Amino acid sequence: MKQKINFKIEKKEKSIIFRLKPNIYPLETIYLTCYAFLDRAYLFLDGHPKKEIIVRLKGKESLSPRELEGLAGEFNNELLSAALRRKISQDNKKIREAVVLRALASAQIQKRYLLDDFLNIDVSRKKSGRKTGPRKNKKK
Amino acid sequence: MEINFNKNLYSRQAIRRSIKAYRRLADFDFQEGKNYFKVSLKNAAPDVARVIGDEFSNYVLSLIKFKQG
Repeated sequence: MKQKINFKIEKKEKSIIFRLKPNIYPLETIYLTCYAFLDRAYLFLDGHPKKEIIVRLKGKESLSPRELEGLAGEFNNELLSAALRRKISQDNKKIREAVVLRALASAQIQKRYLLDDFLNIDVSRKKSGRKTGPRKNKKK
Repeated sequence: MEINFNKNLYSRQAIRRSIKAYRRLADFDFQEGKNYFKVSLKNAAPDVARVIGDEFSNYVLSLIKFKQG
C-alpha cells in the first residue's frame, strides 16, 4: 500500500515542513497541535486557511533526521488526537450547555432559599398560606 | 532579522503583545503589509540573539486566541 506523506524533512535546516489540508485538519486543530509542541519545538505557520496550511517545525535542540522523523510522527498523532477532541467537543456542545444551564439554575434556586433563610423571610410558606416570619425550631 | 507573519493565521494583537513582552531583548519594528505583518528585530541581546526569532514566533503563536469546539 502506498502511503502519502504530509511532511518533508529539510536536513540542512533540520526542520520539518508539513502541508496540511484544512478540510481534513481545520485551523483550530492545527493551532491546538502547535500549542502542544511549543515547549519542544519552534513552530511557524504560513499558507492559506482554506487551501493549504504550512507548518514549519524545528526542534529546540539539534535533531538528527531520524529524530526529526519521530517528531513528525508525533506531530501527526497529535493532529489526529486534537481533531478527534474537537469533534467530540462539537458533538457534545449542546449536552454540555444543558448540564451547565441546569447546574446554574439549581444553584440560583438554592441561593434564593439560602437568602430567604438568612433574612428569615419564607416566601414559599407565604405563598402556601402558612405563617410567615422567623422560623422557630420545633421542640422535640 | 525580519519575520513575516501571515495575516490569515496570526493576529495583530498577538504580535503587538509579544513585541511588548520582548521589547527588552531587542529593538522591534512592526509594519503591516498586504498579506503579512512584518516584524524586524535589531540589536538583540547577545545571549539570546541565536534563538530570539524562533522564540518570538512561538510566543506569538501561544497568544493566538481561537474558537474551540
